[in-house]
Amino acid sequence: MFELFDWIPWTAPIAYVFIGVAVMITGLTIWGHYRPPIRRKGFLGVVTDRSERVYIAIVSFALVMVISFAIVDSNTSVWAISALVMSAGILKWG
Amino acid sequence: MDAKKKNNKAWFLVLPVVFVVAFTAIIPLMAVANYSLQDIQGADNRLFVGLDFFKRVATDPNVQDAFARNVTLSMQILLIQIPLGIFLARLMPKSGWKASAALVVVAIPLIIPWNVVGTTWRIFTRNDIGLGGVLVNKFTDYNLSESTFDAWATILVMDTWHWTPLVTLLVYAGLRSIPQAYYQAAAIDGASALAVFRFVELPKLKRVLMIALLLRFMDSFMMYTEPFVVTGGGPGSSTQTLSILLTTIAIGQFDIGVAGAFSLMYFLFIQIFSFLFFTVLTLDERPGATRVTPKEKVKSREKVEKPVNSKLKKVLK
Repeated sequence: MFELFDWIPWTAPIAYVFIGVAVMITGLTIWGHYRPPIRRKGFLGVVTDRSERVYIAIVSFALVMVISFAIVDSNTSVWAISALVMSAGILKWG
Repeated sequence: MDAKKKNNKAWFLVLPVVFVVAFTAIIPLMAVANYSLQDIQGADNRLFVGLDFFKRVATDPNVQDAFARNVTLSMQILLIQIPLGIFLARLMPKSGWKASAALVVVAIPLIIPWNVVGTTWRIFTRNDIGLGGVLVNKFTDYNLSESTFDAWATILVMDTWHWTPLVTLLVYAGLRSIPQAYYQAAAIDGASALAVFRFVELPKLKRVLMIALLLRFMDSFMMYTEPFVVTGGGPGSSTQTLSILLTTIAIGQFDIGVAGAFSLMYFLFIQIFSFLFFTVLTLDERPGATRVTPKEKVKSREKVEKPVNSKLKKVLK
């Protein structure tokens, strides 16, 4: 099992990201089994359930970060915090 | 929860696919993600650089230009190939040996390997021995290795020749699945050919068109082989797509870290575009909001029934 992964030159942040994604998918599956998600329409204007909002939030976070990378001398941590706030907003009201 | 619990056991049947995708996509993606954060000089010599490679790629004018070119190319390809594909599919014979013959002829470009398509067009567009090149030069100056416009147009025409058949075949299959009764009903109503297309065929084709649109978008956004063979990305960098640039960085310069960061951002944009296309096109098929809970239902029923009850009482009195 571990031969599948140990050829990769691992770094801690990437390991956390992938573990996080795995935990999130498992968690959402279990959560969805016991409490089926409520589909609703928020400010995004599309009916979504909670896992769709999680996906949209993550992708939007990544997009904002990529845009910040394209701006010369941008402050990454400020952008990251703003993007996190935006993602949280999407999760809550999206 | 009043909603009936669904039996979701069928999802276990998806597991084999999950394993295959894990092996061919997710594990390599993990490796790429790790490359993107470090400068690897050798097996024991790696330096953690954080997000530097991402910033370097995102601020690189070459990358930005290639991105703009790719978006333009994909949009042009979609605008040409989707309508052309529908047009051709409607022209094709509906049954008999002619239908089979037409299907085979249309499908030929699809079974030719990419690099063979590129080589064929490389020779076809030559000014000295190429049929296309010589012919076009009789009317106007055409030189693919000097003129930016010629190179771009050649890529566009070649891709249209290669991939419109895919759209055509999908649409053809979609058209054949429309029951004859719809056409009869339209004929009884005296609908014009345009109305039949707009209100009978187009709505029925929506699903196939979505698949065609997604496939054509993703393929064209990742286009590599044909422009690489025909123009090599030139003249200058006028037909250099993101894939060609990425390969130059990853294999030509062996900058695995930069290429990793590049790939991840490329992947993100393909995800976003595909997700947007998919969501917009399936907007009216998406399941609606969850129905109201029983409590709220009772409340709304009371609101409706109250006046009726009072009227009834009056009558009874």
